[in-house]
Amino acid sequence: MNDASDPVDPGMPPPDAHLRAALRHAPDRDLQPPRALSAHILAEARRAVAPPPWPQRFWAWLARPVPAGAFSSLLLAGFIGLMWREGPPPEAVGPETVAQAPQTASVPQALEEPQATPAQSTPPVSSANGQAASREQAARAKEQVAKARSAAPPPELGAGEAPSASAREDRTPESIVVPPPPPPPAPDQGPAAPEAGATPPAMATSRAEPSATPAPLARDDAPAGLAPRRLMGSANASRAPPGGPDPLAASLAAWRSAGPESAASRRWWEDLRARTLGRWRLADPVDGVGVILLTGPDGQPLGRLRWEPAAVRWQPTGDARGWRAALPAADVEQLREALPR
Amino acid sequence: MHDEPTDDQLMRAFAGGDGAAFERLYQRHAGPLYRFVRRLLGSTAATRGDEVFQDTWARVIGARERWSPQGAAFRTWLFTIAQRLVIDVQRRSGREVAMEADADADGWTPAGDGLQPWSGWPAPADDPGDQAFWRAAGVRLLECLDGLPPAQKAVFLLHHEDGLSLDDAARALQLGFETAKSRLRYAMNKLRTCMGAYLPAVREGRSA
Repeated sequence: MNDASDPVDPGMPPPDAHLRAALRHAPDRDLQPPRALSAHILAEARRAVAPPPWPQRFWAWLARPVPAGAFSSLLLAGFIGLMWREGPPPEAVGPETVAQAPQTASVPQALEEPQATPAQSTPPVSSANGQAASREQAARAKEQVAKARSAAPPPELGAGEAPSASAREDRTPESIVVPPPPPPPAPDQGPAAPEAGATPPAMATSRAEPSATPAPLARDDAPAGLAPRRLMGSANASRAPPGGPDPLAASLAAWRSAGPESAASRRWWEDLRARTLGRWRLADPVDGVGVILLTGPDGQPLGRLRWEPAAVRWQPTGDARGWRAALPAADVEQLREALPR
Repeated sequence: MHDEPTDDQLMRAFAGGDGAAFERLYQRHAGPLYRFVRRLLGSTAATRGDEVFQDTWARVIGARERWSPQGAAFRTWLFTIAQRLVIDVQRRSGREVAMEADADADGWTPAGDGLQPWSGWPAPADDPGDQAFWRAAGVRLLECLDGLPPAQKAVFLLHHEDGLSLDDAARALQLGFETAKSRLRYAMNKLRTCMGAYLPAVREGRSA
């Protein structure tokens, strides 16, 4: 205590020694805070400076930028890995891969769910023979796909560039050389051998593209999942380039893999395909009077067919779109008469 | 010879996680701070003393990392916190706290008959026989303190009881030096007058 006057200011009042003495003798001179209160305050101070428990320390550590960045990267990598576990997501696939996606997707379908030839032209077979034949057909279909892939145009053509003029000319209906229908296979050989040499180039290409719209996809440079919507929504949807869409391809492949095919049926399908190739345009769904439902031997529908005086309409099963190929009336009549009953 | 760490060193150690440093700080200042709070609150609000005392230390604990010894010493800072909390309590309890300049010119008059400062006190270091006198003087002084405006009482207590220089007391109360000096002068005059009106009777009784 300052018993002397404060040296800061000589004019300030000196401390009163008597008042100080009275203060020292006041009844509360020994007053101290209660023990419980002191203990509480000291405990609070110890708690304030004590290291936090490990969860709090962990979260505090995790809140720092570097660990937070590392942890979030790890989470992101795990999430992406989980997404790609079953294969790449469709949105992330490049154009080349997309162009082949329908092929790869259609092969298992052809293997697992063999679609039949038109019901009217397929002779009934026993179930055992049918299963064995289905297995052989599946193997052949696989080989066909592999061959067609090797014979398919380079992916960059379909991916982003327009085909050259010569290539386009090769695919025009006028330049397509339709070979005569191959001779019917021997009965013991089963269904026709799918060698590429026996099939016109256009057929070989379209066999490798069982999807209903492979060519527009490539020309539009669009992913497979987006192409149908673009086609339906655009003003040029009904004016596909010649030689492009082949809505018969998928049905034909399913029909071939379904079981033994008759020569008549084979000729009719190939004739229909050759006459209509390059002429298919998107149209309204096929319905109404005169619709013929073509089914396989197991009753699975292949598609809906309807004749028009100068055109043929086709809607593959499972496809909401209809197709129309304008043909000379004589061709329509010939096809109509040749349809196996 | 073992040097005692200063308050600032202890506070820095506490901010660094040394709980024992806080205990030493507490042992040093708990008693004076508790008395200061109780006396400043007066007899009417003495029950709030524990609350203010605890809040003061809680503020110290909470501000340990922000505290720096720049400016005021730890002790000055400690009493500043306590004095502000006392003012808050008094305001919440509806008691007018006049901290402005006109508080120095209030109409306080000491109780008792004599209005002149009494000059017949024994020396502060009187013999043990005077202890009863000083105890009675202490009781009387507390009663007189109750009659002082809080602003004057705070300056007086910090200066006379807690040993702060007038400069530190002014800083603790966030006053200018001249204002603090003026309030201290008012407080001392009033207390002397108040004590002078009471003590002669005690003195007579002691001698009787």
